[in-house]
Amino acid sequence: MSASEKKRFGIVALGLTFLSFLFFQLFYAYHLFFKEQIQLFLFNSDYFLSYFNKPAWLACYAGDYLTQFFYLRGGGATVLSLLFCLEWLLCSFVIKRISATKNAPLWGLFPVAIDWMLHCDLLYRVSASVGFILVLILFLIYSSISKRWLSTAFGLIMAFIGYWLAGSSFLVFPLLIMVYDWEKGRSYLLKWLLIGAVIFLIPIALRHYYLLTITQSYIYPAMNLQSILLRASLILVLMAAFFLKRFEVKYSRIFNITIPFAFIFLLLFGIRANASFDREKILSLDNEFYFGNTDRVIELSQKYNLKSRSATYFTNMALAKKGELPEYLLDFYQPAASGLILPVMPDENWQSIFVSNEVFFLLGDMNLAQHSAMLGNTFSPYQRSSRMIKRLAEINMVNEDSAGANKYLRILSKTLFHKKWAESRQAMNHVSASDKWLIGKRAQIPQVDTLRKSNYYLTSLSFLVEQNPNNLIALDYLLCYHLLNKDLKSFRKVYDQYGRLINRPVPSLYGEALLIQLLSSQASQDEVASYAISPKKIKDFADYTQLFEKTKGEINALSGRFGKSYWFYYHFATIQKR
Amino acid sequence: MTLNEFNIKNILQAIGGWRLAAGNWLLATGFFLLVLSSCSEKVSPTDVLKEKPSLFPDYVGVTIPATIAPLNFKVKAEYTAIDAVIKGRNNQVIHLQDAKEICIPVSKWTKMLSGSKGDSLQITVSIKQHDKWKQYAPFAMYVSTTPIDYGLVYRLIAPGYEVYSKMGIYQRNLSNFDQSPIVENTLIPGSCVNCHSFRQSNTKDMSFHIRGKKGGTALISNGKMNLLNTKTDKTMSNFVYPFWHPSGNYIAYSVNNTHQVFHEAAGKRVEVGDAASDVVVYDIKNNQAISCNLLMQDSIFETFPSFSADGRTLYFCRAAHKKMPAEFNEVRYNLCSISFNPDNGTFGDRIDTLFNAVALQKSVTFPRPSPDGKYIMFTLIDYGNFSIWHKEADLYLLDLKTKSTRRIDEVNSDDTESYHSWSSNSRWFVFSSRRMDGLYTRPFIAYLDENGKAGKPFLLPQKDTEYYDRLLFSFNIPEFVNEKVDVNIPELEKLLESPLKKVTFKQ
Repeated sequence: MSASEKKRFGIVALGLTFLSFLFFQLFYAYHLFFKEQIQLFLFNSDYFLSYFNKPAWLACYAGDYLTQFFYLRGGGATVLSLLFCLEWLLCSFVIKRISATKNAPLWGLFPVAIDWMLHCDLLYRVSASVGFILVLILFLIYSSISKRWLSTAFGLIMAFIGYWLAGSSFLVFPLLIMVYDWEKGRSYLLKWLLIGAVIFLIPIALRHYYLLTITQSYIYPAMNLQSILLRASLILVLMAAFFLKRFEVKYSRIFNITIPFAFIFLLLFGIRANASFDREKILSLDNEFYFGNTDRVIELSQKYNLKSRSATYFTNMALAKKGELPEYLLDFYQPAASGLILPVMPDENWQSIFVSNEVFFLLGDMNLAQHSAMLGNTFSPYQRSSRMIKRLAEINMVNEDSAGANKYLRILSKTLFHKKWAESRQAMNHVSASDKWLIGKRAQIPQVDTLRKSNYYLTSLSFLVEQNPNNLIALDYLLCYHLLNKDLKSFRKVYDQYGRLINRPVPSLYGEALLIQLLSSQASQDEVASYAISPKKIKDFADYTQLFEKTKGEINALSGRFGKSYWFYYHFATIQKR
Repeated sequence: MTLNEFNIKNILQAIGGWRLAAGNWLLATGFFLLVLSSCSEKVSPTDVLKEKPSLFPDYVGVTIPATIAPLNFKVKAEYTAIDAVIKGRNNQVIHLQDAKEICIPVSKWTKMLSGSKGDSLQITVSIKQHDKWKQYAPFAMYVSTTPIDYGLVYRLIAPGYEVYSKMGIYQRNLSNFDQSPIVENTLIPGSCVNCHSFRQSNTKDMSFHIRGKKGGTALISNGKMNLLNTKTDKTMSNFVYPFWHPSGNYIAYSVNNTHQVFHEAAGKRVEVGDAASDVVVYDIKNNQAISCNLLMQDSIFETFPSFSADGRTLYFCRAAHKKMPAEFNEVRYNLCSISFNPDNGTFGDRIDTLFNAVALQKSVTFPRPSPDGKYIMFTLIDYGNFSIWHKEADLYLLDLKTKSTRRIDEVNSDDTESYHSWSSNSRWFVFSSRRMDGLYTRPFIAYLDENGKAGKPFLLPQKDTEYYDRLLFSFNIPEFVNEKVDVNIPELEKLLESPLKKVTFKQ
């Protein structure tokens, strides 16, 4: 390699690593956290052996091993950027070896751009990239064997075990060796046919053993068809490099400008097509809530102003945790009451089911929290999620079910990054009688039993409040549930029964709702006064009523000053029944 | 919750983790080789105890079949080494030592069991603590002369209640640790596979349901597979709980309108109850569901049907209709029967009560007659029919000759004992229990002697003693099978793409 080539390699490698790190760290970090949360990597033999139940055991094991580093801040971006760098380096070597082009380092960027784009998908696994890298390495080994019989033997052995090691990425292997042999002027039709047939038939032949559908068998370990773009991109790039090679000396400057430009265009187009920055925002709210940063959730939610049920769900929980739900509820988008609790139904997407336990855990409804967490774990793509196992451990600790809690904590003790957490919870479990957090959570659990369907939220919330009127989060959720459904009679009934017992100034939203209810029920002055609603609120209500009458309910005239009041919501929000 | 900082220490720790995994493998292999070459440390106990060891799984004093896989175990204590000397008949000895657990080589174990039938193994366990060996009193495992079936078939499912993601029906060879899938729902995305059933352990006659967009009841009769649409105009649902007629010509099913509700208080979790249910019998030859008024009463819940060993009686559970879920804890099922004529598929005109659970303020579920016709084993709970989440659920045995019933205290625990199934010779039974962690059901196998007395049950052995600890799936519906099940998956796939065979109804 010449000095200029070395320099070129160095610049591309550094640039690619730096750019990809920046992208995933600054714009896509929460996706990477989430990817770690939906898997569970254990250090034990039994877990290792479970990888042999499906193809691509080596790619999957190595990929999942690397994914556990996504737990660390910056860990995901570091792993991916280094992986891309290695992938690019190997692609460049492969392209150079086959086509002998001078521009191999530039052509090698295209498969990386595709892989980068694919990693923007929540379900795209690191294993798919590792599988691709393994194939590139195997090809380089093949191409460095000079003895004909040895390379044929290697190709044949790999044909039989490649799918087992690397999965569907290996389907590109026969094409690579065919192009390589052909380029070297060696025509081995029988060898190509034999190796190609074995490699292409193995997935279909083994799919019943691995219990995979035809599509799954040809894309494994990836989960959607889009993943074949990675393999396709390498073939296309090889073809382009091969056919354009004759022009690269004459038009070297054009190549030097056009290829990087095309790479950037492809990358931007791919990211735009495949990345979901709205989902990144929602995941940021989810993760910050999960990390316990409620202020950050509210701050981000204000910044994003998303019209999304999921975003509202995390925002409402953060507000409730701070005791501010009835103050700022309407500062955020509220899709009636459906932003309070996420349903666990067969028609819900798996991400929604995955996070649905959070609110039940917050409210103290441990049975539904356990139900949702178990389903969250089952519905997560690999059916073993570190986040769900942690939640299940906590639920069992709160329920004083040590056998159950210990089971989950023992599982976590076999991990690299959740081990400390498990040890701390184990210690907490031993002094549970004096642990403040556990005492608080246990106090939320009703002592009397009743039955309810999993989606009868009103029944659940009412029961939680009835059993424990000091459960302020449950009370606020119940009251807000009524308010968001515009059921003021039920709201007032609950407020009179439980809300008035709480020693706090009448929250803004409740004051506004009470004034509507008191007015419509023609309450006396004394009755109104008994609620101790602030005089300013009463004056605002008078102003609102006056303006409403004056403008004959003109929405634009009211929205400026009163757009975030309950009066405005009550008059103008329309509720659609699902 | 805070994230660890990304620093060099963590990276080194992670790399250390990888090395640890690799190191464990090397260590395990190395140690294995060490043991094989009989280089284990000589045990000279400084402390000889009178009590027997507390093992996990608890295999002390169990009765086992001669073809069971090695009963690997560890002692419930902290130690740096464990030593076991297993003595069989004719001076056969297996001596093992390990840092963590006793893993018995399959071939040596199989040979020892085979040579010790009708006798017992004597096992002496020692553990090393603080560089000193402590020896426990020897304990026995009784090797029965009565054979057990080839294997078990069970569903592995997360206890996630009503919606489903990944699950599968698996088979396990009882003489070793081989487990293989029969069908997984990864093959039929978005589906639920459930309620596998065999004709008295015979794998040539099998049925299971596939629920979902593409689904039906897979029926394998005499090795030939069909996929049925079991919803008829006269029945409220698809077929649910199955039981094969001993002739192989009929399968009894319940049809249920099922609802799931959740408890609020800790300790109890979920209830599944029927708003309505009936019992039908599917006539395989005529592709027809048959029933009678006595099995389809609106004022009665009928469920969990099963046939007697001679096929002339249909047992089922029967409860007075209650408003659900308001009166969920007032629903109680008796064990009842009605005569059945397999020659023409007709029912008797009278229902008999075999066990009046209602009078005891209890409820019967899963009545399972033994193939030799001597007993019915059932689960008894306080109310309802979803015994799987009832901690008080225990197994009972009804002697059909004397009509006496007793709780099988030899096998019950403080936690749930629920689904159970007989071996083809009626001398072993498998049951699911939540006794280990209260959350996940695990399969236990017990021996029943000629007088109806059960031996101490043993947990289905696994190669690694921590297997159950890590497993996030419950063992659902464990059933004995007499040989390896072979479901033709390509044929099943074809059937799923074809129109289903529609079942008709005759009353």
